[in-house]
Amino acid sequence: MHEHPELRLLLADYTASPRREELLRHLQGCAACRADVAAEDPSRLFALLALEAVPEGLLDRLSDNVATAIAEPGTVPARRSFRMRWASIAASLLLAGAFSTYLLDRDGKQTEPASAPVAFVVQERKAEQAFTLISSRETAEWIDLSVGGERVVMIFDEELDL
Amino acid sequence: MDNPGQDLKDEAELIRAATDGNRSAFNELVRLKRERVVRIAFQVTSDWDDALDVAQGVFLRLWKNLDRYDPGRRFDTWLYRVTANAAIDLLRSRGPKGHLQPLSEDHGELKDESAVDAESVLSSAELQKAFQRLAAGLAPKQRMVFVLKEIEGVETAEVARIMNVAESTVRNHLLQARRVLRAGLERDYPGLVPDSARREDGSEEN
Repeated sequence: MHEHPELRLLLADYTASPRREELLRHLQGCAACRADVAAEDPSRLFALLALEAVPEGLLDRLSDNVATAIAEPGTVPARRSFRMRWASIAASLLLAGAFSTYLLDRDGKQTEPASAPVAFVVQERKAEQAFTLISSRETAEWIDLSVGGERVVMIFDEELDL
Repeated sequence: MDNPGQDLKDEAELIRAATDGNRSAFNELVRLKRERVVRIAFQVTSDWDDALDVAQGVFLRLWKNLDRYDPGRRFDTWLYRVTANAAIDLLRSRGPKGHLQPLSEDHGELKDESAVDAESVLSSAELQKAFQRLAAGLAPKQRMVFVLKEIEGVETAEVARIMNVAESTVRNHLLQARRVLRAGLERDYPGLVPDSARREDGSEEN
């Protein structure tokens, strides 16, 4: 077995040594030591993940978000802009669907709602790209959300920018 | 670190000032602690965006609750406990296999290797992928213990304080985590472990 003095330290206890980072750097660069560690217990190679770099800009983004949030109490910055935007869109669509949908029968014949549907406005462009605009009437817009044999149509009270 | 004592004194001063509502001091505290908080969160969630979410939540919670901090105790223990809990909560919210990922396309090549090819098998990216896949099979607390102890290099006693469990429990979680990860590596990356290190029953010598 290949023997570097560093290897014994690594296998004894990665965490006890004040030279931990130095030892990990050695392990990273020494194929023979890595093979020996793998032979002893390959799961210990995961210690090398400590050397993984944090994506550039992420830490500054974190600091900026936190600084903004504590400077303006009650304002929590968007933690994940992309995900949160889609979540809000989905929530809007769900609410809109719950209040302003009505079913068309399977041959596509429209069943008129008993009363005027409550309309919600969805202004996000990306949300509509997944749906089909089937017709428009005056200022209202219709969106087909049909799945399988069930047809669901949503109505919005403003023209959508598709 | 040129002068650890001075840094600790500075840290204590920052905490005191932040507790009094000094935002600049708190922002400096965030700057000092952010990298490790993000790293821990990443190794538990396997996603840098999730890690950012977790870290942000941790620091905002910290800002609101700094007055509850007992200066007689280690600040880092408290901080990492909040981090661990937040990351575990996120992991649990996704279910037990929330992060199970398919093998990479080049995985087949690795499987065919009979000798150790440490350079290709152990590239940083491949190691990270392997960990993300295999750690998905760990219980959240096992994963957290492994991350703190094996990856972040936190000592067992400190891990126990962070996780609020006995040291024996930490050792047990670590043992279980190592077994699962080791078995996964042997199964998915057989070229990683030399044949001479395997016993006939499939396990390895120590």
